[in-house]
Amino acid sequence: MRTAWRRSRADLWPLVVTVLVVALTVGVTDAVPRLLGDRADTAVRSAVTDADPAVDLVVSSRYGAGASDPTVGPEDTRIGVDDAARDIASALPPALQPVLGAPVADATSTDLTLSTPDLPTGGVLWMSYLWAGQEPAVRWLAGSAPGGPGRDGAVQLALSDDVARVLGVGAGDTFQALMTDRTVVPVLVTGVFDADDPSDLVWTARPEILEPRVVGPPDAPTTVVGGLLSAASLPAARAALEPDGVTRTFRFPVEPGALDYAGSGGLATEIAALEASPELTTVPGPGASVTSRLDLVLTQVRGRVAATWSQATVVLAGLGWGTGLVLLVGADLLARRRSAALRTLRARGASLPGIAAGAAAEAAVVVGAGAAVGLVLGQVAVPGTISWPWVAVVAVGVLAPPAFATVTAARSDARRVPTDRHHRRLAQRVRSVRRVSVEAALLVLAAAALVALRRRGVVSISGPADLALAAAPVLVAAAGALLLWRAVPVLLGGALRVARRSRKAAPLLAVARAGATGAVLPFVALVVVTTLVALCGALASTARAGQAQGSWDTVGADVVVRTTVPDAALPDVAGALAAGEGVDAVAVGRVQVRSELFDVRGVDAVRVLAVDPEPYGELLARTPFGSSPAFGVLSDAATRASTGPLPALVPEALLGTRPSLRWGNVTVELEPVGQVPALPAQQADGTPAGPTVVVDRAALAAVVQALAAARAERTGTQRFGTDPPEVDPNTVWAVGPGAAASADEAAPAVRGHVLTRAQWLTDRRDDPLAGGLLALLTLVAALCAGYATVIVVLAAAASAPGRSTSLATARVLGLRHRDTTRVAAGELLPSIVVAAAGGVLLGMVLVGALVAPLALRLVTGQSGDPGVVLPWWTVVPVGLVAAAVLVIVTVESSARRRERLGQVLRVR
Amino acid sequence: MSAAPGAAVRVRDVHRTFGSGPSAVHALRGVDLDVAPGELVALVGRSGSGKTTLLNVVGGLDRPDQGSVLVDGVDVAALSDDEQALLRRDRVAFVFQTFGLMPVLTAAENIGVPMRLREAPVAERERRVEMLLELVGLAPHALQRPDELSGGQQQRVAIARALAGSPRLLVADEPTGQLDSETGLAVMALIRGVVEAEGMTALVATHDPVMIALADRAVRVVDGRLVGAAERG
Repeated sequence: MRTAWRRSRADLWPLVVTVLVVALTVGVTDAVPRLLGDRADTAVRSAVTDADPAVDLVVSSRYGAGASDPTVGPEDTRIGVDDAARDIASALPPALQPVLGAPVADATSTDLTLSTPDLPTGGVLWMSYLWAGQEPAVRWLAGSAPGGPGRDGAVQLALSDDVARVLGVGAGDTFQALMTDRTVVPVLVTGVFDADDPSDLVWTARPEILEPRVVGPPDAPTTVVGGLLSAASLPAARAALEPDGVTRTFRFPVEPGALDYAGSGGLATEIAALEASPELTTVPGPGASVTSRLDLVLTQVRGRVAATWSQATVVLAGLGWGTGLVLLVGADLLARRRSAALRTLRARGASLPGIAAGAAAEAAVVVGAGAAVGLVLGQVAVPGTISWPWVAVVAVGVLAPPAFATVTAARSDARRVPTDRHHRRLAQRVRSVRRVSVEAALLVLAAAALVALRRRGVVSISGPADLALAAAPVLVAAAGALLLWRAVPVLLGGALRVARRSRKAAPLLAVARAGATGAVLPFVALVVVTTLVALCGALASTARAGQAQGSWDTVGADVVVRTTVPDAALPDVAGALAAGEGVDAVAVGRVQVRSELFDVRGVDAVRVLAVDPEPYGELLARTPFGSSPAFGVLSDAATRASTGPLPALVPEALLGTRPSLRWGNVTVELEPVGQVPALPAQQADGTPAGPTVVVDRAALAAVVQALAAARAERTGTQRFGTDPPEVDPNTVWAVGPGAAASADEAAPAVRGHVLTRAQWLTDRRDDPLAGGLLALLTLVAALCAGYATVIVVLAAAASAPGRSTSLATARVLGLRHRDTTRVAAGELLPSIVVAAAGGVLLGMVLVGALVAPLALRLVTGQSGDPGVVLPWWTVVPVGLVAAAVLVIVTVESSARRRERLGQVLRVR
Repeated sequence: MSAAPGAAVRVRDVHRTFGSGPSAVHALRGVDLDVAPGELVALVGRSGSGKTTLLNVVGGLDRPDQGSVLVDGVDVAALSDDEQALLRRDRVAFVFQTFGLMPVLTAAENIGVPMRLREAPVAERERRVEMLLELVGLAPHALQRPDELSGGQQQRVAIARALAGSPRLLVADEPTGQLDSETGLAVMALIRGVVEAEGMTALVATHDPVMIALADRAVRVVDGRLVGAAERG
């Protein structure tokens, strides 16, 4: 025991390094799965919270035709809403009940049209009975609650104060509503109210009851209002709207806080089952249906979570392999440092199993200590249940030292070298064949893993990532390392030839030592970890740059204002925006997705950008898409064109063709005048925009107008208006530091939706999954950079005794002390720099190969794979290991100053 | 500092102690020694008597705690580390019991190292290496590495390397210690021959009576002191 302690103390620093490496890796591999689990739960909740429209579970059914009778008591009808809501809630599958809130029920009429003195152009009326445990609480400003039907059969209805003002009616007034078949429904306003609590969920079923909504183009708006039925007046409404004019809807809001990732798969299945079999909800009446976007949203977010898991698995697998290699290098160093003691032990009769057991006991203590520290760190960082991916690393840490110690001790046994030359050569060939076989097997395995990864991708939404595929980057790095290792002697051979022709001693000593002392294990380990540094670093940079590119692709500018329907007032908005402070460029246009294209092969639908070419070109010139002369070409061509084919910028594949475009009810012949330049490639929802055709908006309007006029002449019909509404814009883009603020001020004029690039980017970067993965990539890159340094230190320590003797000999012969540092650096640097540079190169190549299989687009929010970005600092590992070598040789040089040369070459 | 007339090596009252306190080892206790140019002096004594320490001090591999060491008129103890390195490069050569060859270099490259340290022209270096390989009888083994040579061959390479820089003083520490008697005899004869041929001074620590017999003079070292001439064959 005491001997073991003494031995451990003598090798304290390699053991401490082992503890640190194990602690860091165990800490990360223990904490990350928990962190991702937390992030997955957060992602599920965020997706449900942010879903627009909401993901409520909606159960609806009609009352049915022919069963309504105005004389039926209100209780019977009310039971059809209130009790049905209770019955459905209790009939929902147990897994769904905890995540759904109390239902909001309504019984609402079909669309009724009405006209009142203050709304002569007409509007749409919904009559609704609302219930959320009880009828909504209101304060009566005039009149009272609706009751049963009057003698004239009028439906009694209450109106909110806002709706009453818009309609210009009050308590006691009557008006007529029309059904779609022009049947008149008399309505009596019994009271005007204010909601006690306008934010009460019950009003969300029909918000138009409290606040009228205006829809449609500005020149033909439609006002949508709601009126409140009571339990007493609902039967009359049912009777008035026969047949089948009232629909019951039960809306169950989803409680995001009750969701988690683990249960989300089951929930999605339950929802889908309900949608397929609405009768399971026990909802009464015909036409029962269950709709919800919850299953879709959950499926989508589960896909993203699975992708993040898979991506993280690749990164963690890399870290695990890298750590394993570091531990192997450390075990090799320990065995080398103890080789004399091990030989002595063996000579004294110690058995190999006994030697292995002793080394394993020490390793268990050391690695166990590291693992314990790592687990504590992991728990401090992310508290929770211990995860177990780190066990493999610990196993390598425990098993490697006894393996190396046993091999070292076994080497001290008398070697059985065949005396016959033929047998010696045969043995040599057998060793060579064995080595080549192992290397070839690794190469084949790496190639197969990479091909499989490229074809299948590592992302799996149906289960955990394939670990064999996840190890592909490391296998490729290891295989590349072996190839590089075979190239090192060739490189050093060339350097040796130059050194031999030199007059000086230092180059020869350095290169000769470099060629003789390199070891394959630290070389491979260094290549693998530097590959991981470059790979993780470049992946993180690619993802960040991809997010930025994604923001440009989606928004197309610093801010975009979109309207649901084309709006002739948008140029005014653009004008207001352009006058805003900090707005550099503004463009207005019409974006029409999936417009039909004819007369060409391969493309049947395009996105049409109808813009003013020059302002839009100037705007794009201020974005990463850059300026393009194509817009000038389009503008010139559009100016020359009158009513002929419409000049257009088209995809490269359409150059030289004469496609026709369907625009509204006319077909427009296009004249390609150039290729579409780089443009925003995504729609607002992140889906690919597809092939795009750019036309001049004014020219399009002229052509459409001419075509419409020609057709009118042919058919003899009369046209109304001079400005074809089909070419009204629906989008305004703006760039500049003040664009977002100006858009917020200008957009309400057209009820436009404002999307800023900064907000899109912030949302993407704040995404718990994407943010977590980027943080993991950065952390693993930093760890592997540290491990690269550790490998260099361990490898240098392993070759230090030989280097010390060699330099001492050279010093005895007259080599000056300062030259010994150069010789030592020259000895260590070549293979280490080659390994690090090779690793960085492999990492860079792997990034390009892995962006698609890793589905990095899910992190960047792009519809396609992001372009690879190789930041300058991916080469940092090369500088780092070179700096480590310089520190090592400086430290060794300092130690050599205290060395007594006379003792170095004595017999020991 | 002035050279003692007629002495290639002059050692006066040299003390060297390793460690301190009760465990201190007094390796040299007031050693005085003069070696004439071209003289081959054998240092004889038991292991631990101080022979190697004296050789190290004379060769500039160690510094005395007290006293002076003049080699070719230069006070070795007064030199800086780099100056001592230059002294070893230009004037002193060593032959060790363990040969001290660089295993990663061929025999020819090992022999050429001293000339490389002096940055001698390549052609001159190659000619000299070739001549020395012929001298020690190893021309056919020029491209072999030390581990491909026998112990005697390695020591002959070491001797050739020692001669490469045309030193004034050859310091040899048990040069035949790891060789069988026949090979050792050949190596000793070689040393004797090259010392005479090159006109250099040699200081050789040895237990070997044959080597003692080949020396011009043998000096006995006992407990860090020179106690007079040793008995020769």
